[in-house]
Amino acid sequence: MDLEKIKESLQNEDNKALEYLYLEFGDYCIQKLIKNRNCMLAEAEDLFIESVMVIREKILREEIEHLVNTKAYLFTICENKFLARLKLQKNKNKKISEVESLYYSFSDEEDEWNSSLMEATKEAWNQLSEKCKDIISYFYIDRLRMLEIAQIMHFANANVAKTTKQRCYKKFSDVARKIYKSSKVEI
Amino acid sequence: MISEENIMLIRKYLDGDLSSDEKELFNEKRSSKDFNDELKFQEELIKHLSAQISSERKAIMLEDFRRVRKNQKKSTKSSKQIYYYIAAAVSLLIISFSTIQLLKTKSNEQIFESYFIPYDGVTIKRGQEDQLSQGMKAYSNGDYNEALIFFQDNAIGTTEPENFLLIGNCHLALNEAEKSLIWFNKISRTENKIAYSAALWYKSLAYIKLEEVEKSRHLLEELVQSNSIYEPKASQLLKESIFEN
Repeated sequence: MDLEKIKESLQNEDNKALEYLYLEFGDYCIQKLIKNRNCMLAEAEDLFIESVMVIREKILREEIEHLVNTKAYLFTICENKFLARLKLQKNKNKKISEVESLYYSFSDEEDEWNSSLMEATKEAWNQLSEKCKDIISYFYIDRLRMLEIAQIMHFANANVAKTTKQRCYKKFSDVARKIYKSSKVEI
Repeated sequence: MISEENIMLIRKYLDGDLSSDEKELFNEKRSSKDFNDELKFQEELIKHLSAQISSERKAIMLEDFRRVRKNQKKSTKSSKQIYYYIAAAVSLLIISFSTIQLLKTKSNEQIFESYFIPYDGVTIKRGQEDQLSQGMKAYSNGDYNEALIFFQDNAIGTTEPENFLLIGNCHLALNEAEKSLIWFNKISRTENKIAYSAALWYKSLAYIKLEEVEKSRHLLEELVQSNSIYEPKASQLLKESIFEN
């Protein structure tokens, strides 16, 4: 499967590209992580999926122009993820949670994980409709342009997508702020 | 307390959506502590939100990945199972084929036994009485080894087809089908048509005993066309299971 087809499949969300990555490179990366890094199976699977997520995002953001040796590329990301996780655990001097580990992948080194804010975020997120969750995910995680989001979500145009996203995010932000503030008062 | 307008300005900034006028306004607002606190809060909120979304997405992908791998292993397993089934089926076929072959051998033997009646159309010529009659006596008693001795002595220096038929029949009765064929083959069509038909008939039986069914079939088909006394027997024999296909 070439880069164009992978990209097309990821954009269409038809799972063909992901299944291709899983079946072609899953065993290789997992076995190598277990052998080279003494990872447990669950940890190796975790790292592989995170690496697939990285590739997925890079392809959707058009940050990858060529995908020559996907196997080696994927495994390099797996290794980097493993090392980053190891470094983080050493710095924090404790075993960190999965979502905390993911938080640091979006943060600078000096940023601090805020468990109260995370709880508020989770609760506010769960109160959103599926449509709002989708549009926010496309915008903040996949970093799709409003025109692309409009096409995927069948909005009339980019402006409608933008207004919908703003409304959804405001709702999320307001609820999260409220929960977070109340948790601070309780403390 | 920060205003809704300022919150909106911060969101637009974080989304990279500020116009040049809004950028100027944003920079002016940076001197305010409340504004900066809200900016920090919104930045942190987006990072935590991104971690939350990624965590959910990862859980879904991990579940999908495990399902896909499980299916792959199942399909590999079922491929292996299919391989084993095929191997078992092939073994069964080989065993069945061998059994059928074994049954067919028995069947050939049984068919031979049910159709083989030793040739008896002997006309004794003058000068042959002693040896031939002694041979016929042994032949009638089923003592084919003894009969062979008399018949072979009697056959020396002659081309009498009936002698050849008798010797061939002795061999056939003694389970020596190949030897019998040597004697039957000595009988030519032109010399004695009745003896030739008899030779064809016994040769076809010899070939059944030797499990050379196709050779037998050709001879029987020739007999069917011949209008000889062996024609009804030949037609009937051709209907036996060994000649199917």
